[in-house]
Amino acid sequence: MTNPLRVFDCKGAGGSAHHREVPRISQFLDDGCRKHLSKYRPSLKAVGVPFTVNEPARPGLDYYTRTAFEFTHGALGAQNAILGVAATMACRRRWAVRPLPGSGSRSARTELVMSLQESAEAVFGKPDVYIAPLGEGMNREADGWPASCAGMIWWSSWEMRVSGSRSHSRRPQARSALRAHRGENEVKAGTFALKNQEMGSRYRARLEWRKHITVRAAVRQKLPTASKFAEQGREDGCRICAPAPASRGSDFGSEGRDRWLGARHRRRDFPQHIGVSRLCCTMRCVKERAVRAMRNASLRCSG
Amino acid sequence: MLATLLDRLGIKDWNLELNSVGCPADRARSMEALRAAWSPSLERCATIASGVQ
Repeated sequence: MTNPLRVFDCKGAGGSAHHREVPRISQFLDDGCRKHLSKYRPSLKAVGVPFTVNEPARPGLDYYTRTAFEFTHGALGAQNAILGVAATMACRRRWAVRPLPGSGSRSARTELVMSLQESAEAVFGKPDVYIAPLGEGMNREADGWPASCAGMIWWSSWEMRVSGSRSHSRRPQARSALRAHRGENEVKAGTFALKNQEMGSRYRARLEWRKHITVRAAVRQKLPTASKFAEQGREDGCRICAPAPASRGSDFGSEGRDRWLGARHRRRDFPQHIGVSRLCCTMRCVKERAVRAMRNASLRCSG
Repeated sequence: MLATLLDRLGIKDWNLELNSVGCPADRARSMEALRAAWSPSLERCATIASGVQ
């Protein structure tokens, strides 16, 4: 093997001892590389991004030159890199005759997704609807409900349904804002019941053959008024996510709710006949947020 | 910008590790020094042996 940096992958008992003994690459840097590295430290401190200087060079970045960043996640074990960026003067010797100036980045998608899964609770927050089939015979009926809830974040635990959905539906720790019930009585009447978890109020809505429309419409009407999403939107100054103060009052208003819902949905979750207005709102909201985040980041870096 | 991206994705507890991998001349000198430093440890660790030899 021709790359001694691979030795740093050794996580054995004696590995870390060896790592402390070996010479560091910082001892061999020329003036240009030292200056390049030193330029980044005050910039990162200025923008408030915490960092550490990791002395042993990572083998995965060895075809770049000069300064390199690597984002790692502490809960991933040995393979903990999620994003890597080489700042300048990429030297892709395998594909180029001569070194090419530029920058490159790589992402470890598996590790990135694992990081996302770890904090999925924080990302997604409460589901819009918790589907609670009342009675064992209603499990089959409830199987079709996720399709009916297209466009909404729903939660229906199979294990809990098997172990006794009726008892679970009474649990106070059900996390969703709304709980949709459908028991034998509701099946006979062609309806379903909605319960607002925060306010404790109950509603009954008619289930028509176009289930996804009636469920969506009923849930949208009964959404709780205070939402973390709107608070986040106001903090970010997003005029799409945060309703105007004059029209907000104690409620989102129908337009605000549409935006609140739309921003959380993906395009494929929308039935084709729902229309494009909410999709436009979603795309506009996402675009505005992305542009604002990039503008803020660039301003902070340039400042 | 990447830190903002990770924050927006909801990924917490990330660490940013900054380093320099040097230019090709620096790296050649570093590699030679690493091989020399690890040569006495070849018998103790199979990973070192596979990396240096």
